Amino acid sequence: MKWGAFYHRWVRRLVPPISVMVVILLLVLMYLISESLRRADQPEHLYLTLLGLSAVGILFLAVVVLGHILRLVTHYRRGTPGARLTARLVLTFVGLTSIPVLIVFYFSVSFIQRGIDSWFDVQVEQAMSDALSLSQMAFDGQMRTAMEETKRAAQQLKGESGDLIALDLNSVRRNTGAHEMTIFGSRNLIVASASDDLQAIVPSRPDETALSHARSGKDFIGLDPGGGDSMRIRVVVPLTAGLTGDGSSQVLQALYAISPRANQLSSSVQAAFNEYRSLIFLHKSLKKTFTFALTLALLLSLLTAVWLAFIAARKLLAPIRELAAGTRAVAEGDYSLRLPVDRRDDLGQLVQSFNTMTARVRRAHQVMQQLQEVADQERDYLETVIQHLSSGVLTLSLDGRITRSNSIVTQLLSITSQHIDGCTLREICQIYPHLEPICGAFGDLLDPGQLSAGATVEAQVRIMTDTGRRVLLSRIAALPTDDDTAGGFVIVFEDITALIQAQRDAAWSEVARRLAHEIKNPLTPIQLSAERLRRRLLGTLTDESAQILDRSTQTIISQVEAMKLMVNEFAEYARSPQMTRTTLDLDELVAEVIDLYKGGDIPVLHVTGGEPLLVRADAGRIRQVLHNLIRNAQQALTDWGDHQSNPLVTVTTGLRVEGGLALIELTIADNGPGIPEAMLDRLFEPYATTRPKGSGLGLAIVKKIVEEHGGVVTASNRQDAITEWERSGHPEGESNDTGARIVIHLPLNVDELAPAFPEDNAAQEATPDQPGTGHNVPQDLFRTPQLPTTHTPRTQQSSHKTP
Amino acid sequence: MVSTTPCWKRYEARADGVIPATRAQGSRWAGWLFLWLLVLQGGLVGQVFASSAQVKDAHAEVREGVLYLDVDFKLVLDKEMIDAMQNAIPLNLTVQAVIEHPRDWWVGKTIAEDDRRYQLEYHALSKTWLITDVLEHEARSFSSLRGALRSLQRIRAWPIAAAQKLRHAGHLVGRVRMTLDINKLPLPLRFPALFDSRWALNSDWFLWSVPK
Repeated sequence: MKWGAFYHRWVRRLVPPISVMVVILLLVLMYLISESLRRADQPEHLYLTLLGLSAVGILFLAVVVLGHILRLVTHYRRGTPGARLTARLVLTFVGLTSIPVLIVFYFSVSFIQRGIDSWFDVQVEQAMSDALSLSQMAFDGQMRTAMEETKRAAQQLKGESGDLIALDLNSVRRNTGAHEMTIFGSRNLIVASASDDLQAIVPSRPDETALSHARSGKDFIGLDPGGGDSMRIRVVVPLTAGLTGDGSSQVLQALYAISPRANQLSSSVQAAFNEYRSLIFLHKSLKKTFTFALTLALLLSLLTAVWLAFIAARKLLAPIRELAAGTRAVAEGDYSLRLPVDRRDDLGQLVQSFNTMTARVRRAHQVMQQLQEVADQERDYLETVIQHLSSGVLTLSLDGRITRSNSIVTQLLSITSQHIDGCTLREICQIYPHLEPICGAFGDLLDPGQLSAGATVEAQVRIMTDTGRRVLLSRIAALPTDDDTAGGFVIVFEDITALIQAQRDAAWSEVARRLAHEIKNPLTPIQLSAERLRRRLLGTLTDESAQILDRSTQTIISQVEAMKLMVNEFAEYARSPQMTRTTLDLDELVAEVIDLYKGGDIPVLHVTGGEPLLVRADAGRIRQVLHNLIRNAQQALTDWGDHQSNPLVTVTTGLRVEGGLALIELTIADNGPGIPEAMLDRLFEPYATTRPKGSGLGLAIVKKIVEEHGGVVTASNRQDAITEWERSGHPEGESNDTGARIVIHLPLNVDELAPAFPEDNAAQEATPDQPGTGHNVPQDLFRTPQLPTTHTPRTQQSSHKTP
Repeated sequence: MVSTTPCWKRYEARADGVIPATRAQGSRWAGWLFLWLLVLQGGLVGQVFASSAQVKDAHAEVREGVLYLDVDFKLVLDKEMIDAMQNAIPLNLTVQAVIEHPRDWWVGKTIAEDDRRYQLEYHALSKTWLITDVLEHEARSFSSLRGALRSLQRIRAWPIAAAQKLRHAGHLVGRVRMTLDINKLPLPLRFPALFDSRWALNSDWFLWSVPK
């Protein structure tokens, strides 16, 4: 982390200026190297120092360039925006610069090679050697003379003793014209020396070769370069002949000076020769050196070119990289980015356009979001509506999977799981076998191509649920899409069980009315005929026959009477309501009815709350209701016999306020055996009776009359609900917690309901007043016993298209 | 960043096994390379007779209050070098003698030092070999290279320092060596001479005991 910060803060900032300085330094170094190659009088250490510095500089540049290349490769692999373009630009730049540089390099190198080769010429070389030989020959005569002079001097000095030799040596030297003359004794010790140069203390010594030559009796002569430019002729001769090898022999060395002019000329010749020879010797190295210097220059140029290419590419591509980053940000949904426009060229315009585009996209995005919110709200609203529909709604995708459902569906179909989304209809049918009829009706239609877009198919489906049989009116419709293909399905279920029930009730009424009408007519003649038979024949017959006649006619008459009663009840049940409503007090009416039951076996008790219970009703019908219910209760208690020691029927009237609605509550209760559980549900249906002799129409009539008055009748057993009020007022009820209980709720003011149930006579003729069912069933529906609208899944399609 | 994690994992898993193998391979290659270099070097040494300088012996003694040094060298000149001298390129040799007081954690403290500089060249006109003592401006000519070299290899009675100076300096060590002054070579030869064994005429330091 620290290194990263350091790198970004210092290294990346400092490298470019340092590189610039290095390049400049290298240029200077190159110049100096080329200068030092040209000039001879440069400081000794300069050349190698310059080379070392150049190597370090080029190494630095190489590292910088390598760093750039590595970073580029990394970016290239990662797919960083601009990396490919950078690579291409760098390659182009490098190509553009390196090709001419390489061409120049090639020609320079070959030019140098040939140029240096052209310096040398065989003839010149030969001439140089000849000149040197000529110079050497020029000294030959002088050397011969010197040799002879020296030999003569040796002759003169031969035989003289040590001291005398020293004295004579100088005079001999002068005679011979030698510059210096020295006698070496045994072990090369100087015996005597004489010199022109009075300041020279130590005489010049011959080398070992010359001395050994002289000691072996041979003469030695040679040129001695001496120090500086003064060449001399050196002659070494033995002084004592024949005494070699014993160490006691002496050697004479004489040095002769050469004339300054000859010295000068010979030096000049030698200098030129040396120069030429050294050039010949060095020409290969020289070529290498020049090539090396050129290679350094080439490396410098190439590295600088690559480095500058990277810098240029970076500068050039900086806005493109920013644009790429901006585009990526936009792609990721960040529209708030604004790129800085700090240049006025084409790229600047591009950045400006990008900013404009981003701003527009941002605005469009905002609008889209707002629209989305509106759509969401509408969808939520629709969802809420669908959830609160009384019909069950299922939407299915094209592949038959449920995408949406409202809660009513699960209630209607008795599906325990709340999560059926994502299942297909078949899967649900497999889990809930009672739904098989639905799959049978619609399963095939969900296959592709079976149902064209916008088409609707309707079917009535009966399913068995845990609450009993249920009849569902089901509709399936294929949802249209833009391109006229089905985009899914919607299935709507409507519970028409109650409607069917109402239809059935109405049908029963019609049957009862007709039966009553048809049966009632012949009954009176039968009865009259039986009575006449009895009256006329009873007296004329024998006792036995009379007894038979009496019994038979009595049976006919009583059975006809019973049949009449039954037919009347039928007629009563099926009677068209011709109500004459008046406002009456229910309590008064109840008291009036109960008075009729005073003194009977089973007492009837009237319990009232005291408040006036005004009801707009037909007094006769309400009376009939009371009679029916009280009689039923008494009958039940009578049938029960001795099980109940205190049989009692209680009629309770009161006002009940529920949810701001005031209702009159009329309860008829007994303390008998109660209603069997199995009967409770269909107690008010016709022919539902527990008694063998009952017609089963009494409670059906009660229900009909109550519903005609806009009321509701319910039955329950007493242990289910005993009001506190009953318990406190009638302690005997506590001991008996069994018994039936019929509760009737009537509206307090029936006038308010009048508009919902019109009473005009014309309508009453055509339509029986059946407010209790809640359905207005057309009269003609009941003309035929069969219900015409039960569609089997016959594909009666109405191919209208919804927009 | 990118959804290449499974691939990356696999790569890592593979890399665990591969890297040691690569290293082993790499070291094997390095070994081969090293061997080849050795063979190559041996071949070069066999072909090219490299120059060398070596201090055979150095002996110091104090006479009349002055420390004199006698040094014997062994010089072997490559043919290339002799060729160069015969083509008028002089060799500049420096003999350095140092007396120093060694220190444990640092370079020794120099008590006295002296240089002798010789220039060995071929004189074409006289066909002699010339040794010039650059500092003393003395030149001696030799009719053969062998004679010149014999002279060069033998330095006698070289006064290094006054004995007085050394007396209180504690433990002292003397060092002597010979070097070829590359910077005095002609320019084209300088760079190659840095790395060319034929021009390697630098001896190692030779340690000698300093008498007091």
